[in-house]
Amino acid sequence: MAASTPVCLRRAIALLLLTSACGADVQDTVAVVDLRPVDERLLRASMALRGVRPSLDEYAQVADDAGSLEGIVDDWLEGDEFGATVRDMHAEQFRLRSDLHELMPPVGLMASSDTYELFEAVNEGPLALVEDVVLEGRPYTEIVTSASLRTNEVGSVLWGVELEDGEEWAAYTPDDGRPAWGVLSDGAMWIRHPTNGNNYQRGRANVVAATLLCEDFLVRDIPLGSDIDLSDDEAVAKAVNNDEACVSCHQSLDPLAGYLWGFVGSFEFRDVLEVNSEDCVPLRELDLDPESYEGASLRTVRRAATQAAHCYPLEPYTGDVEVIVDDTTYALSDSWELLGLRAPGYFGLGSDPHDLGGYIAEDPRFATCAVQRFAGYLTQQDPEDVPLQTRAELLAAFEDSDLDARELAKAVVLHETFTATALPAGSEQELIGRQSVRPEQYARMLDELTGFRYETDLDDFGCADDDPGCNCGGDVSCAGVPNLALTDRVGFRSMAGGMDGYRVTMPTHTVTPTKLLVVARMAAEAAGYVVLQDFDSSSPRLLTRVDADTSDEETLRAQLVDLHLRILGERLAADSPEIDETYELLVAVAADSDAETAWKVVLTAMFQDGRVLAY
Amino acid sequence: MSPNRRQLLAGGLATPLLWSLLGPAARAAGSAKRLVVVLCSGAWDTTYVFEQTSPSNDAIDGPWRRSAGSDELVSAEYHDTINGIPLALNDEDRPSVTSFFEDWGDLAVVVNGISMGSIVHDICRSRILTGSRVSGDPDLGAIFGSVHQEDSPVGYLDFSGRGFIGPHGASSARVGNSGQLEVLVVDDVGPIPGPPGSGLSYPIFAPGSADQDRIAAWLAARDARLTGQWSDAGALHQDLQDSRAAAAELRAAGPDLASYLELGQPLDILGQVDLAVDLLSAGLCRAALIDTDLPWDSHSDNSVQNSNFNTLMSGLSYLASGLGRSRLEDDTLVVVLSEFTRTPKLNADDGKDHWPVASALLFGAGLEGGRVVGATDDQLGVEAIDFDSGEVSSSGEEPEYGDLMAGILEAMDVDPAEHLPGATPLRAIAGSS
Repeated sequence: MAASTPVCLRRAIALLLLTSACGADVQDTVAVVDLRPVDERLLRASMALRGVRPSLDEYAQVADDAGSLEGIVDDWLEGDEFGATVRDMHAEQFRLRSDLHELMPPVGLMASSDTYELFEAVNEGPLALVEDVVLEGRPYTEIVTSASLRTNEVGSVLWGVELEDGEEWAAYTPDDGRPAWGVLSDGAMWIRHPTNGNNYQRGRANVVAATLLCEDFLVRDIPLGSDIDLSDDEAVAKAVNNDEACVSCHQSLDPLAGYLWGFVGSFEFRDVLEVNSEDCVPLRELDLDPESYEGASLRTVRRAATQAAHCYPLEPYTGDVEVIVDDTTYALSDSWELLGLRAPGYFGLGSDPHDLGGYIAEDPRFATCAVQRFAGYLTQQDPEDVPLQTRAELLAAFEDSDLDARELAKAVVLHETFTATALPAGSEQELIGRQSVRPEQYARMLDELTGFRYETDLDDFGCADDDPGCNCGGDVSCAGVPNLALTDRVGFRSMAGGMDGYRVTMPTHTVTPTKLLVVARMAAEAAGYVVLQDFDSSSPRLLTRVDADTSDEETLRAQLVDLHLRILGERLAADSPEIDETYELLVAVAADSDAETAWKVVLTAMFQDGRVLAY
Repeated sequence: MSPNRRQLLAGGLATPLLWSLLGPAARAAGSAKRLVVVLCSGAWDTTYVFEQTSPSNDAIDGPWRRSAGSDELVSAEYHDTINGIPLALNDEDRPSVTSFFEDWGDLAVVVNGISMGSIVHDICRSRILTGSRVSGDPDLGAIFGSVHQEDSPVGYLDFSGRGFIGPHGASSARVGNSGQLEVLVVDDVGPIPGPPGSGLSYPIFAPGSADQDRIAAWLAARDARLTGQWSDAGALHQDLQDSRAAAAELRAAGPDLASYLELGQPLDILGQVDLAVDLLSAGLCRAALIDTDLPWDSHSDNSVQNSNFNTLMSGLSYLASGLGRSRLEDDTLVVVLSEFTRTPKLNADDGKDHWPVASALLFGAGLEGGRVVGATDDQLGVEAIDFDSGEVSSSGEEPEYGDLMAGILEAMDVDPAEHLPGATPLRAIAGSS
């Protein structure tokens, strides 16, 4: 572990970084703001943190006592829906959950699983670790220092690991020698972010710097003179060490890349398929005695280890495999040395090759970057656009809680920029305007309101294995049960404004025609589903006051009042113009068909309302 | 879908038809009212078509060399100038290149030597499409679609998913990776299995047309009421109202749209071309983004560029023919882009890596065709040029991606200063048209 920097010092450094840039005095907070109505604050906080609407009980609580809001938020921060938001946020941050990129084929040892079970097992592992760290209130730094990783039953077979408890996403500790770097030790990260032979782990190093430190080397232009031949290894190696324009980035980036040589370069679908389509020997069962490889080139040994690592169970880490070159034994994690590249090093602050996670955790940029990312995600801003004063105030709350990310999230949604309608004159901060619902939020909201999940079984989908959309490659069908709202191969996530993590790498925070078409389809499906369920249930979800035979206007209006509050966040009187309009819609449809259809139409409309699409 | 067109192409009969029968004067294009952007994502090797590089130049492994360090050269490679455009050609491995420029070269402009400043796919893809380094800025299609939307339901239709809509979300739409739009514009695609264990199929519920109208009226009244309540919504409220109208029009065109789409079937380049031409022709959109979805990123075995360019140029010929048949040739501009080119030399895997210089191919409306703008030097570095003539000039400047995009916008009569205020339009793109 890197030498521990006291929190107060770390905080001082971070605050200095922020305040020196903006000139703001973090103690000089704005005294008076005009707050949004408490119902609106409740709704905005609930949607941002959980992606679901407040319950009628929670509306009643804040109506009785506006001060109860903070306690309600505290309760939410313990819940599964907030955990799901944490996963969503980090999936976006790490570009995980892309079902357009390198799915694992269900063949060989994994033949009893389907494509989407494997997709989930791979992609949700790092996200489950982050969720656990956050929901358990542990220091957020543990996402990069934890020795314990997470996977589910399918993942335990895929990775060949023993689960430590009976949770759906259970802990395991790899025994293959990989370092304890939390999410950075999870094979999923490096399946998603492959590196090719001539990139020398630099792309991965930038993923580390960009996602965890908000230090993106790749946005900088390369002032490339045409005298550097990028295809000439020697010329490039010389340039990154000597060329003034190159050194400024590479002196930081390349040592960071030096930490990552233990991880397999890529797990492409076609390679995994090819290896596992015949009998193969997993790396752990292969005798890779360095003596037997003596005299072989590093490239040969790496290739042999990589091929074996592709045999299920996958081995994302081959760093401890050894190779003898010129009578000296090297581990593959030290490949940088044999390739004449820079040794592992962390921005000049340390060079313990096993402690990348520790260095990141101690880096003041890690906490400030977490602030930017949480604030950016929860308020739909580019992390770089979060105002410096806001960053500083949120950082203070984060540090005061010993880096408990729940407190950071709470500080974001209770921050005056999120809760106010106006800020006092002279404030340098900016109000956070109306937010556009994300596809993940919309799907979760419908699930919570109606029990509907937009899932389908691709086995019964009706497309043949050789149809490109249904085919994952080779003769492997992309079978399984994807949630169509949350995937892209045949689903609608990016069409609804989300990112697929591969082609679409930025979410769209507004309303588009395609998004409305997705919403309209999902709204009707969810409405159809819940009305069928509610009219056949003793504990209905939404239609709590009526059944198919209810015709009494007063009861119908009371039901609509509940629905307007629960779904739309509107507290209305039964004789208000808004309720009149919805009642007229209900009655008009019922007159032409029946009560069941009428309720389906009313709910279909409500699920497409502007107050659902934005909060 | 028009299977005859594919049959034509498959039979090698993708001739320019009517358009080719017209003389050069008649084919001279007017100002663009429609746009098709074709993206070659992954990075093409410009030495395979757009750059004539000499075999005697040791600094560059052109297409004649397939193996690093080998003295063996591919004899079928040759250089020629077709319709005024100097090209690298090989009629065995990529015959479509020759035929494309023979048929359409007089309408085409090649732009070489654009400085990209980066060798990162994502970043350069954004730069070449948007002309901007600012994350979130709109791309060429989104800008053009918003300016020229007129009475079309949407201005910009993105078939690739790689587009950048920026603030023009309300005038943009996506098709999906495998025809998902079909499910959204018609109700009776199914049966698609519903939630597992429910015994239901999709659609579980689909309001009839009368009920759709009632829902639309209810939503319209609700949206109107938000005017006084959403002071904090910025552009969101207007986007909502505009998108409601566009979505309704797409639904109304649903049966037509659905006839081109099949859920579960990604569209290849020919399918995208078919759909683009028909949607443009029907006035359902004004700009389209097509992705070739070919394996351009040839870090190993760079010779895959042969088949890629052959498929691309077949597709472009097919597109040009389709535009001609649909009588869209006079007001449609086609812009073909890739994020950068590949390194001058082959690597140890006989592939090529990333090189921060881009080329573009344009043909159609608003251009004086048969020309090359810009150049690279004998090491594939960017040459300084005169922005008005496109000729190499010691007193000129090295064009960047923003200048390219500004020049294209100007050629389409869209004010580049409004969208790319820092860029200098590369005026040579339009020529004297």
